[in-house]
Amino acid sequence: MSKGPDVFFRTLVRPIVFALLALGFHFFLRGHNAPGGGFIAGLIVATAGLLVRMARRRGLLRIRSDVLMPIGLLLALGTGVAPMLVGRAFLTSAHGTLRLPGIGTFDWTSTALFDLGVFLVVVGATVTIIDLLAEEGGLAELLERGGRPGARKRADAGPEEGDDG
Amino acid sequence: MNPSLLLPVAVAAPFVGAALAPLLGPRLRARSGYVLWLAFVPALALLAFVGPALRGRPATSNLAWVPDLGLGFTLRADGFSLLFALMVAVIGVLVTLYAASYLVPGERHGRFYGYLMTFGGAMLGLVLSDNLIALFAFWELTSIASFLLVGFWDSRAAARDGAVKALLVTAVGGLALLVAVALLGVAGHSATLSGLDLAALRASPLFPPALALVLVAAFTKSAQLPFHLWLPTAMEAPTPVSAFLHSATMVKAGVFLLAKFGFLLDGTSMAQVAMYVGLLTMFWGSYLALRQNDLKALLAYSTVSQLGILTAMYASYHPLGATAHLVNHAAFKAALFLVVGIIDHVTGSRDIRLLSGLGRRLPITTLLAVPAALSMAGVPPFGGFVSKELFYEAMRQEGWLPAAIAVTGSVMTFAYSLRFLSVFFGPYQAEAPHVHRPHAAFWLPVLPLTAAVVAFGVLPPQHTLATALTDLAAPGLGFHAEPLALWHGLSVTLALSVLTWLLGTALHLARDRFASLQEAFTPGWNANTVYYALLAGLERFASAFTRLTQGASFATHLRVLFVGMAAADAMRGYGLILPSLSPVPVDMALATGLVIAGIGGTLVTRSRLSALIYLGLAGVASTLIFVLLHAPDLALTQLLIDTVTVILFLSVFRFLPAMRRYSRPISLSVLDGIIAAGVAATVFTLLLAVQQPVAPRISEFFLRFSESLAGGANVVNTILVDFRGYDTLGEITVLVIAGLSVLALLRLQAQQPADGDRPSEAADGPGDAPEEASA
Repeated sequence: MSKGPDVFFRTLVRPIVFALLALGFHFFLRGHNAPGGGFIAGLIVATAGLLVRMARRRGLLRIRSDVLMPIGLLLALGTGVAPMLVGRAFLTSAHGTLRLPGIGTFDWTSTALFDLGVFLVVVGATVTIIDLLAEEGGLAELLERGGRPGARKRADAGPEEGDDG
Repeated sequence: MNPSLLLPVAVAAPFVGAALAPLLGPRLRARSGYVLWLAFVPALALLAFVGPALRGRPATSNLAWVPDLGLGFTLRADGFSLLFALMVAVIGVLVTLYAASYLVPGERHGRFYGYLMTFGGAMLGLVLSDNLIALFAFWELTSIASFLLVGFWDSRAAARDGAVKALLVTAVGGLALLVAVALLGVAGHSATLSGLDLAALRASPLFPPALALVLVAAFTKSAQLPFHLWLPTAMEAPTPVSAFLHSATMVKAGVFLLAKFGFLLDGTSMAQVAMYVGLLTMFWGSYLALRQNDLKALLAYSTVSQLGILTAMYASYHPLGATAHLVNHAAFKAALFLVVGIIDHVTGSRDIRLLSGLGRRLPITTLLAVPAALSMAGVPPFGGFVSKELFYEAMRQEGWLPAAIAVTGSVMTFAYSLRFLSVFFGPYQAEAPHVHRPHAAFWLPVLPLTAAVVAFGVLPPQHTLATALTDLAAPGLGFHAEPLALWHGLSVTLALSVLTWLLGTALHLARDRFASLQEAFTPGWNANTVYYALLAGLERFASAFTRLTQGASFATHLRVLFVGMAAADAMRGYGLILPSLSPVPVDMALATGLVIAGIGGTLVTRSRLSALIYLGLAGVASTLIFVLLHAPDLALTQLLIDTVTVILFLSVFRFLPAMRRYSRPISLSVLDGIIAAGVAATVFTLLLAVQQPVAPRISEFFLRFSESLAGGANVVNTILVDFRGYDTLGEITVLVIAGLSVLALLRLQAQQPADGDRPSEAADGPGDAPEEASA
């Protein structure tokens, strides 16, 4: 086998990752009324991240995944603090129906933003951990060797690949 | 001015300054001080409330905090609080301006000013809070700010040691205050200081312990015996900090507490104890101050001694003299500290033995220092003389023993004040052959302090400036104000003062002989040796306890954990009613069988890879159970978690040593078996027990109101993001912390720890899946 993981795998990863991202988006949006939500969507995107990491030796995201964690946390916290500005209790939610003439009606809820915060934290944390472990543990190298657990000692490991953070 | 606005703004402004300091620091560097002093201006504006406070109608402001619990963020500017707040604001402004000259280039200016401003805000909050819990919070915040400022030059071991010592000692007091505040609130039926029901409080059995705890808090903060040890080592802080925190304001927080709670203390036996603690501190502090060769250390022990005077006077309920001395001490001690900072800066030394004759080289600095030092010595016509007379008067009323201790301590005070002054006189001597004179911006902030020292004694002749300040405190502390005057006529007190000066001068002249006497009588142990012994003992205990419960062997760790868990659950679950068991459906039995097969396989296999596959089996089978129970959200989450876990596990394989079996004695296997069976039985019983409803099930509520209240049909999701959003917020916070910890461990760690063939037991278990957000 040539360098890198299996060619079929690499080829297939692209559509699979695309499908996973779409699925994650779908699960996120429908979460309030059907199985799904920010947590599940975040995990789906994380599996996409894993696949990319295995196939291409680089992360899913071009941006730093670790900054997603504080951004998500601040977003969730922000949706909690926002109602306090109008004199409501912390984390009070609001929801309603938006009517756009000619386009249709949409149900909206302020908790979607909170859920987005959850989503970002889950994606940020899992992708960060995956990327770090994969870098350190050499997930791609492992796959190159056909899945055999590799050398036990790390002393012989070559220089790690570039830091994509 | 609207008090409900100005009071919170006065407290908040320094915090805003603290937030801005890191932005200003890199640009303006030390000169940030010329901007940041403005943060104390709202506190200076509190002067507007002096009128109402004098008439006994203090300004108040109340912000809703937890209205459901009757808690409000209440600020109340009674006369005494106002006096303290104005003192903090004035010295805060002067010290901030002074720091701009004191700090050298290359210092972390943003950080320094940030800490300093944080302290200023906390101190203002502390003195103005009427709410007991807010008072406690600000009290602790001053301790933390002090810790950060003492350890500001953190590359010095002494600074780190001093910071930790200051924090530990004051934190003990903080804990005492927390309990005291809770007891007072319960016994006095109020969360505010002004609203305490005194009659109910005095009658309550909680009163004596609450009072004792208040005293512990006050003694630790105000460095009274035996807690005085932290203050001298806190002098590792930059000098502006020593002047602001460790002489003028923060260390007086304990005295402030004593004064505020004076009405509680009055007439109890604990008042006597507190008075003698204060007197002994005063004596011991001045005795130790005589031994110091470092100008700053001398002032530090002097501060301990002066705080003893304040404690003794407030505890024996002589608020007039105490308040007069409080103001005097703040003025002369802050001035002296700032002068020492200047001397240190221009000569490069603070050693009394190496310095003399500075008067001719630094005439302005000397002019600023001499009145302050004479005030400290209690010499007329300065403010210190007036309050020293009041101190003698008060102690004479308490009996001959307190008076004798007071005079002895004051003799030594007089002697060390002369010693301090000796650096300005005589032939010139310093390390640097030529000293450059400090520029005006350096000494100008000292000028108002020294001016106050003089004014408190002489201006105006019959009805001094200090009288106005004690008048202000009078309605707040509930005492009758009297005009203070320099000349009281010929009296016993005056005779005692004259005696003090004579003996003090004699002691100063015979200082070498006295020093050798002190040397000879130094005991082998002191508060510091006790502190370090306690600290070492605590460390030994902590490491022994950790070794016992969380030792190197993972198996032992797990045993302790499981036995503890089972014991706790068994205690909690004792006496619960268990429901009868229902028959298990076939599909559920099959799925459960798969889970058991997965776990069994993981245990018996000899290959890590197959263990992982078995583990995956158990996970997927659990997913199946969730599907059978009609819980699609849980099933999805479980499936995803399991997938991610298995793959992550693969990625760290290469770090793990090969699986090996270690033979273990049969007795240990039996023990582990018993523990496992016990845990299983406890968990099973508990699970059964929680099936029995003890209250109406909350799930009904969620099912009914999910659509109308949260606007969502998926109840699991509305619970997660809406009904119990607080939980989720906590969980994602944990997730962020976990993610950042992994980041810190793997990326930021410069060196990977050697991870060789560490013996791992066969029980080396599967890794934990990331914690899932549970509804």
